[in-house]
Amino acid sequence: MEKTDAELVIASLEGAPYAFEQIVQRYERLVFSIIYHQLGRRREVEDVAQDVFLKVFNSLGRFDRRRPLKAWIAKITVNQCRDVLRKRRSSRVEAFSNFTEEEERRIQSLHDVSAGTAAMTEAESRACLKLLDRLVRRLSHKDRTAFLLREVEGFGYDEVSKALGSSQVAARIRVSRTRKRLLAALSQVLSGGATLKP
Amino acid sequence: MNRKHIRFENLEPNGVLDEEHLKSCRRCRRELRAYRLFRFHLEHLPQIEPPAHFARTVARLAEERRVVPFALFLERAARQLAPGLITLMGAVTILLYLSSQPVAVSLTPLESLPEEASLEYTVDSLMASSEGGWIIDESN
Repeated sequence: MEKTDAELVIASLEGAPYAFEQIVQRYERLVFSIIYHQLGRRREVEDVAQDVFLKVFNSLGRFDRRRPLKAWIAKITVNQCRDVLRKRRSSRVEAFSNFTEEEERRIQSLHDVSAGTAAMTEAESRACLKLLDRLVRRLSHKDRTAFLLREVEGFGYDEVSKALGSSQVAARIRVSRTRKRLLAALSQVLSGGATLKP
Repeated sequence: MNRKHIRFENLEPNGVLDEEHLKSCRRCRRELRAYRLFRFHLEHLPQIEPPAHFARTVARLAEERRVVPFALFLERAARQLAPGLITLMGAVTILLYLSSQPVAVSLTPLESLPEEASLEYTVDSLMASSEGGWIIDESN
């Protein structure tokens, strides 16, 4: 039977081999995703993720095992990203739209799939993705974190609030406000009322 | 005409839409299209995969740099030392108990026994001496 997070934490603290490795395996995708969407630089992601997991490992003794490990690891990741952004002296992240060749191919196939359901042109699809990307990276650190955890990682509002260190109501408001801004911008593009600078 | 516009910013992915309103409201239809695109693109934002051996590498690195908190160090040390300490305390208790019992040991001056004393006499003499008494040589 698969061990629970709390059991893995205890085993790891007791020095059981492979316990911490299992924790890393369980949450590495989440940590990579948060870092990538927070920082936007592929080359930095692995180093920052390594720092995050070393912090997790050294703080396991202080972890409250009644709380969800996922939200705790997300919080450590978000704080680590904030520190990296501070060092850059800018909260702006690099564009995801500096796409690799593989991603360019994915966008093309995305357009092919979405064309059937949403009846959008390739130019529209590309414009939407770029706009979304640009808007997301211009959000404040907390808005971006709340929005990405909720919309991309599928966190519940309770988990978002724990990761942000705020109340659930505040997390809800942040996500709702960000959605509203992004939707309004996308809606404008679709109605031809907005211009996208390259 | 229903003028209550749909609030897409609060709509969850599987939220129920007011179809009647959508039929009559151009603005909400446009926003619905934006909402669907928004969700579609969110689900397809570029992702990054961790390298194959990332977990193993990080776990090894963490073990090498393991910092044991003092409280945990004490707890672990106590757990390892507990069986030894219990055994030691048991042994000490037994020894203390035994040493508190009066041990009446006295030496029978064998040289005081007659050389021709029988075995029975010698045993009796030794037993008498162990009870704290001295042998009274009745033969004298």
